[in-house]
Amino acid sequence: MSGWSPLRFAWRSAVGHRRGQTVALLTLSALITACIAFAPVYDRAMQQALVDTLLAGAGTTGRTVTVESEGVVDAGGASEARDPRDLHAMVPSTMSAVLGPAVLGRTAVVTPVAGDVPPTGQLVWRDGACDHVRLVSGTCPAAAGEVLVSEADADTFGLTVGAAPRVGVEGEGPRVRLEVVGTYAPSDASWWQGLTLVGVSRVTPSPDPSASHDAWLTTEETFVESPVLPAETSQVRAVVPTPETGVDEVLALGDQARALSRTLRAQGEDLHVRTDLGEVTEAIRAQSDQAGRTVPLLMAPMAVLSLFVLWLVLTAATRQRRGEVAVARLRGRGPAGAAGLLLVELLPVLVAGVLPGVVAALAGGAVARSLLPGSAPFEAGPGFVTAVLLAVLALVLIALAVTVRVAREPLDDLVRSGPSPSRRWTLGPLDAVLVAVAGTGALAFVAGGLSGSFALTGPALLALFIGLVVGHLAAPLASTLGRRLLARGRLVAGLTLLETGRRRETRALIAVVTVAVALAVFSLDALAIGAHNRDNAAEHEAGAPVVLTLAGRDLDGLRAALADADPTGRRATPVVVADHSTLAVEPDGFREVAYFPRGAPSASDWQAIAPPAAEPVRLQGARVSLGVRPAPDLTSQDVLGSDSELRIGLVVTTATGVRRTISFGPLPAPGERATLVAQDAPCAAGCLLAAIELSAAQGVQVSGDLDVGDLRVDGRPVPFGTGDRDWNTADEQQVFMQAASTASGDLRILLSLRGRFPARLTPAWVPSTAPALLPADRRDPLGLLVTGLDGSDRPAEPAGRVTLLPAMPRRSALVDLDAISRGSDVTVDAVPQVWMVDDARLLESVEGALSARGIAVTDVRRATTVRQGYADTVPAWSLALGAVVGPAVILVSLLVLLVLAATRWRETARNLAILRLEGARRRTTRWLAVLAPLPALVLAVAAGVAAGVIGAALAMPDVPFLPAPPDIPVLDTATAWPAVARAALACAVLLPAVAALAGRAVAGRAHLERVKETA
Amino acid sequence: MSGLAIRTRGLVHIYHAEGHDVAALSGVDLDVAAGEVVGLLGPSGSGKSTLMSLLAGVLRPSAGKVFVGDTEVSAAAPRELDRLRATEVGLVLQGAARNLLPHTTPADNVRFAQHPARRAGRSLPDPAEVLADVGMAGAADLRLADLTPGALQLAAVAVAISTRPGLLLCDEPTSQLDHAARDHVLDALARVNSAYGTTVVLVTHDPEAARVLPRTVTIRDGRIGGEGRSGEEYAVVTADGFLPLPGHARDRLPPGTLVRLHEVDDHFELRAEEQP
Repeated sequence: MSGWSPLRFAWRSAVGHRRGQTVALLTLSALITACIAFAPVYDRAMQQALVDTLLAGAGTTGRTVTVESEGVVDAGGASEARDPRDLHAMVPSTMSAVLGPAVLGRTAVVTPVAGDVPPTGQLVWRDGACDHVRLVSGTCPAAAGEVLVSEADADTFGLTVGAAPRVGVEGEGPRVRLEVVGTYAPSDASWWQGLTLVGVSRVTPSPDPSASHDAWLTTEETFVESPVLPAETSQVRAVVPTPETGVDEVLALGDQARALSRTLRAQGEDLHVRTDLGEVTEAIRAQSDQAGRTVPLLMAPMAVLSLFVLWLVLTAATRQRRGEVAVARLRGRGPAGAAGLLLVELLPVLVAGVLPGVVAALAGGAVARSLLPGSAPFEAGPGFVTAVLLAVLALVLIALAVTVRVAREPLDDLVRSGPSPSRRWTLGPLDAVLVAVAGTGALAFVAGGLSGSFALTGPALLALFIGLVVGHLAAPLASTLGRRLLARGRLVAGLTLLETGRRRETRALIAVVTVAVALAVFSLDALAIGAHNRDNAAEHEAGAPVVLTLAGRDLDGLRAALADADPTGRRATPVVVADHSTLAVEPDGFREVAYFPRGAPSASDWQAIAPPAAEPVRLQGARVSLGVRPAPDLTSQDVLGSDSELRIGLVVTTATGVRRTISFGPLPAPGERATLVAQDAPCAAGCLLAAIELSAAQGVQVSGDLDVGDLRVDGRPVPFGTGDRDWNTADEQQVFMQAASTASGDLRILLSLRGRFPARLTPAWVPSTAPALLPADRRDPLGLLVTGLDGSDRPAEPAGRVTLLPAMPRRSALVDLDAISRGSDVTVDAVPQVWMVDDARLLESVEGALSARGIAVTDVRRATTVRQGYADTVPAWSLALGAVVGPAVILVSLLVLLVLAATRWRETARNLAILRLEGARRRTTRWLAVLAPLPALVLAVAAGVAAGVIGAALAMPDVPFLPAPPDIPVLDTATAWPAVARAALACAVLLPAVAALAGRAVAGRAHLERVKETA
Repeated sequence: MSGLAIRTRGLVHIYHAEGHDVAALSGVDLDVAAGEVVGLLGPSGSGKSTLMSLLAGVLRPSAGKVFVGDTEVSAAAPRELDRLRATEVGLVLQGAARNLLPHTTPADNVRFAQHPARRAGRSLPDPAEVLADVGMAGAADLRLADLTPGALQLAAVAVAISTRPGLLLCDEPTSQLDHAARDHVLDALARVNSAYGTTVVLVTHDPEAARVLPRTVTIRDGRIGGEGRSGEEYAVVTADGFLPLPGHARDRLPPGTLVRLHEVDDHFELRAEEQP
């Protein structure tokens, strides 16, 4: 006869009689394993996606590792660049194994010594170059001095086959004779590893003309047999192949490249390692560090919650088996034997759950990998096995702890029916420790005392603390309230609250649901805040849906083009950015097109930067005359006290940003009146008066009055304001000019000039100070200056504040384009742009209109591209976990509800049956069963939402939302209330609904026969 | 294994419950000879079950000593107590289901109970034989859920005697059973006692059950309040000379009554004095 078989007993119990509980434990085990194992898998997937994204963004040039040797000619003599083969030998085999095929090469910069404008450009040898260009004419170079040139060079510089330019060398060596043997056209760009062969062949005419030629391809012998050529180098280059190069290889390559650079520097100053891999690896490490903060912030509380839930469920399961433990102890098993009886049943179930957990983690990782950008294959990652072992260890330890706890109970406690629930207000030892630990952590978190990794636990600790406290208070409060309601005859409400207070699991249930809801709220809040901030950052960086950067400074042409392309002026608007700090805009169109992610200016702000309402003085004609009369007491003396000449002129603008001065020459002697005449052809087409200008030698002191009037153009009088309000007063440190009226109708200018010229009196049409909208945190204690379109500082006055100015840095200003450009030059410091909505047809129309006016588009920036750039970062992917964590923790809570219902359904059904036996109607018992869990759940959901919102508000400032900390206040970590509301609603509906359904199912089993069952 | 004797001296047990101390036993001196069958009687709360728990080593006494055979149970180490329960003392708790592993059969329960002793090298009867001893030969492999209450109780007894213990302790083995089942259980206990010399101590409220027992000990207010031998009731003088009055005498002699003990020929007379 066979003996006792613990495995058979465990199988019967787990599979035959407690299937629901077994499935729940298996699911929980799988969930815990999946949570713990998914973190490294997802981390790996993010790293791979990041590497692919960064390498793709870097292009071939950024992915190339080059070891280079420079040829040097100095006082000590000439030193040839090293043989590329020697350079190749210096590359460690570990690097070569990962890098693509090495390409040897030599380069120099050569300029023919003959010709009117000799072009400068690269002379290149690449091993096997002729296989990677298209030979258009001639032959491939085979001997020293033979070169292939581009078709453009052949046309531009007459370098046809047979031409033999001589080029200079470093130092005093003989010139090198080259011979054109053919022409080529580029092909196979990737092989050239970022070297641009053609496209620069041109002569740039100007007062100082220059010329450049495309790359000339030659043989290695050309370099070997000639003296050291200018900027001569030799190289070995290899490209990091994509997508087959993984994270570890890229990181190792970056480190090896740095190490090689140090080694080579020690071997010779001519040796260099050139690569952008360092930036790539730094970005990988920096963003991985960010993931190291965000992923644990979301996953660790979930894993801890799952473990806590496992503890709770196992406690319920072992409590259900107290009778079996008691039997084992009665039959002589010690605590170890009794624990073994439980473990034989529970542990295999938990360990069996590891496998689906591992599969779920890997499947989740594969899904994540497919959703994330890049094409690197899915990998589990190096921490995966450790994480799985950690999960198994956690499962085993918790199972051991729970079972040993029961098995070690005194035998007399075990043989009784079980511990009675506590309705006392005092805390048990375990509760006290938990509350103390969670409370201390929560307090430190709230006070900002947690730092580093500990800070990541802050939200979970806060939620746990709130859950424990609420759970502890709920049971006795519910009991007290329930008794009062019962005494008033409120049967269902009273019994419901009494049941809440009586249930053993009320405290733990409230704690678990509070933490779960808090985590769901926190993670979904973080997800929404992250998306919002990435949008903020992208919108700020882009400025508008589409931004075209233009060549030249033709603002009138730009305006005319936009008027043609967008007659409404609301979908495409001109913008000028001066010195990266001044944003000059046309408000009507700009406010329709531009992004203001953290608050747009108000209507009054826009009004405040409007230019003065004064009309400009228009001049049209070539002959301009002006009546002047210096006052008798006007003095103009140089530093030695001698009289000095003072000249007068009119500053005019012939077009927006095109300024010139019409000079009338010296003023007559003081007290004399004269009509000064000047010829100015450009004004024949019309111009606007920008200033009256006085000039003299530097250092001359001028004091007195000057009357100006009778302005005529081509003999026609031109009225211009002669009142003091028609002109701005110039009141600077060395210049004082103020307008005043005279009885004769002339303009009187009060002068006090202290040696700084030219001095200008501007009409009221030109704003004396530029009203500007400023970023909220810009401070200018010494007075506000903004960069004008001519690159000079202009006095300005704050007209309003906004948190962010579109596409502008911290110290910037937004001004009215018309106001800032009146009477001003537009120089190279100003970059004209078009900000417009994202509409392909409009874009085509704008580009066409610009092209028709000879305005080239040099760059196109799209908000969608910028937004995608922020989306393809580790912070975005890390926060995306919130979309998984939120539903998962709610799932955990649902699981807890179902497990608790499954473990105590007999007891509940029996209690309901007793109530029925005592006269309660079936409908009443059904209501009691449905309502029983609701008070605790409603309380827990409310506490969880509060804990989640508070935790998020405290933790969000430390969450990395962007790849690098922004210099501007682009981040807005305010609570995302819609996301919070959605999460809270989901929890408030799902949890009570499932609990009510479970209660209804139990009520359906409350037959009167159950009364006979022992509790 | 032959029966084990029981000896308790000055046995005191106090329960500490939420600020109250309750003395369940207050100096119990009890001797049970090896192979004897003894019933513990007494009202609810008198301390019968506590005494059983102390005898089985489930509880440790607050004071006094308990000997089972040569083992001082009251001072035994936990491992020694486990060994005792595994091999020498069988305990049947009140409520048959509490003595059995659920979801199994009577035979499985017997195997489970025998497992430690078998591992220790003891030669034990086959589970079928054990179950046959209590009249359950045909129900060995039935599920517990399919057994009648009487059969369940018999299964519990079978499990308790499955290691041929020297002492069998049964708490209310006949409660909630009909007459036939009760008699069946009592017969089984008698058979075990006569067949293996097992000392049997059982707690019962059932006067019918008590009537068939050769010796009964009545526990009252935590003390031994009397003994019955073959149907005759006796008061028992305690080791310190106290004589608890039988129940019916206590009604007529309320606390504070002065009594005088008169030695008359070969016996004593207890006479209450008239109150002044």
